[in-house]
Amino acid sequence: MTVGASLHRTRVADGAQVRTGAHVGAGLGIPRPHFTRRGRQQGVVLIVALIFLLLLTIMAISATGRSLLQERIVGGLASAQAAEWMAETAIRGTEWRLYNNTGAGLACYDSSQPGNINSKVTTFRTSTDYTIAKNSGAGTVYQGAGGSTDYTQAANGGLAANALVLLEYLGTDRAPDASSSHAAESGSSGAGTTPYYIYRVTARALGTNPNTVRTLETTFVTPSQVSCVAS
Amino acid sequence: MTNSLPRPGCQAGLTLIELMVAMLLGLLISAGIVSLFISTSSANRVQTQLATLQEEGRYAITRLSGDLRMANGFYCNNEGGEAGALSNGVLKLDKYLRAPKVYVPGATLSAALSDVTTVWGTGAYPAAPQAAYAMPAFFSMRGYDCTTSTCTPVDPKPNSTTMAKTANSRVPGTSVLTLRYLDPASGWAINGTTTSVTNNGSGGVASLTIGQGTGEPAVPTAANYGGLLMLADCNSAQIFAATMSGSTFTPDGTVNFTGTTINPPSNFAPKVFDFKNNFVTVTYYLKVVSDNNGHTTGALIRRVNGTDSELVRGIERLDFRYGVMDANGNTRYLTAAQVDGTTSCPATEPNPLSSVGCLWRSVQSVEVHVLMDGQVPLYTLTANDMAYVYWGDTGDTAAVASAPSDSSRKVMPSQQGFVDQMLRREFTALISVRNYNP
Repeated sequence: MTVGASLHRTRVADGAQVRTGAHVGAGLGIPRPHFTRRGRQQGVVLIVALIFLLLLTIMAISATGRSLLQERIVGGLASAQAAEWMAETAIRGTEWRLYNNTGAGLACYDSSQPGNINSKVTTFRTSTDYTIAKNSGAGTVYQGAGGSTDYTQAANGGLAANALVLLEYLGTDRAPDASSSHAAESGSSGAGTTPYYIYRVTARALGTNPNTVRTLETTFVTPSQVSCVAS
Repeated sequence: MTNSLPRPGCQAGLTLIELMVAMLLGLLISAGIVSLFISTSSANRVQTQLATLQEEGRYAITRLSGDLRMANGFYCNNEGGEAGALSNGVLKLDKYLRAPKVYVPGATLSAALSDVTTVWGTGAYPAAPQAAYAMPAFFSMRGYDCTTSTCTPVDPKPNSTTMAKTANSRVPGTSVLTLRYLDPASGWAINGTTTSVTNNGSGGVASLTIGQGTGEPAVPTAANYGGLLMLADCNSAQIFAATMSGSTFTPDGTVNFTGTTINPPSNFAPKVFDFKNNFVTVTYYLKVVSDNNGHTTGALIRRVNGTDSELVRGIERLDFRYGVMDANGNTRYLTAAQVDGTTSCPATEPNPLSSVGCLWRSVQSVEVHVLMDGQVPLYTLTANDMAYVYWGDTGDTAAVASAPSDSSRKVMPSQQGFVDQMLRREFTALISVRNYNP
């Protein structure tokens, strides 16, 4: 009995072992394709989702890239415009000082004789680099009509540097047909009127980015005279 | 035992219901993803076009502004000197505008300029003068406004183009502008060393020697020298023919008016220019170009001294208005025909040959309008997306965007051969012409 019982128990135990074994065997053997199929189905959803995600990501990245490029272009343009308007402001401000006869203190060079032009002036006017122009020492820093506006401060535009202006004397104004008298303008009382002086103003300015440089020049005629360094 | 083996397989398998539910869910999700993909993709295409449109519109305006700002520039000798008070007593305006004195026959001067439509002796224009004269204002600048069929004041036909829908024609209904200025980077300063003047002993110029100084352009070669020189200082300028021999230029008595004496320049910043090459004529117009894909679009052409170069594509319309101050100090914005037809000007050159076209020299500011399109037709656009506002189209007076095919438009894209289904935006700029001295 006991043997039989033990045998039975053993059998049960064996059976259990077999079943366990069969189960394990099922995992490794016969039902495996079934498990694999289930796995493949899950993978397909994953892969399809990943493909769509990838496509959308590529599009998003290219769109972002384009937007970022646009932003950089616009940033550069804004900086260039800031430089342009700073140069224009410096020119207008200097003209205003000449017009109001408050030009004292502006660096001015006599450039009326092309054979005798200060080398600093040539460097300032012809160099492509702002720093070289600045280091030539020919220009005056332009800080507004009152001379106290710092354009590098955020509230005043936050430019990379204040603009430089160079004033050059080019000669006296004469009647158009190259007469030797002073200007005899059609609106004035004839020859020999008060002399008018011709000045050239060159302004070099930087934008908010020091790589954007603008140079503008203008010729201005005024009855007021500024003392200019003979070259 | 044998029964127990397949049971786990059966449990994990799919019933028909499960399969259908799974397929339904799968379809729903895929449909969602696909529609998301399609909308993102079309949004992306619209985004790309908008970005291109913005970029090219900005570029077109930048290039136009650069040239317009220089219009009528003439070294430093177009300053007007002392100004007189206007009749309103508030503003002061120059009584005259300096102009170079020309010593060559009118035909020689016209031949040195490109895109001249103001021909001597035709219409109201004076006959070619037979003695030295001041360069007339009608050579300074000229605009032309066009409808889809005609242009006012005349059809300029730049590069022999006429208005048509076909490629290489001019875009119908678009304006043309020709302006001239002296290239500010050109010229040789008469410094007595590299460039000098030799006098003839009787108060005239015998010859000039031209050489390259610091920051100056190269000396013209025999092949590219234009035949005319301009000798200028800050008060006056003289244009005359000169023959070239190496680096020596001698006034050409066979072309210049008989008895011409070229005055030596004053000591005030004198400079000499190769007039034909340094005095540039810039013409802006729109040309129809093909995208090689069955569609056409407009290209902005910048024509410099008779040579076309394409700046940007995707421009459909181009319009200009000219800001002019009259003798009473009032500024008005005029059409090309109005500027062209005015013969009473606040200021003219000294001893003018004629008052015809004098207002072109007095243009103080120019208003530019440009209509850009996205270049590639997008057939997914809705009517709202295609609607746009363009200056001067009466249907847009309340700034309400209307369809491209709106009949109130002065020019519809269909009249220009362009597809309606495109994004369109208007770009505007107001440019101050600093070379007019009020």
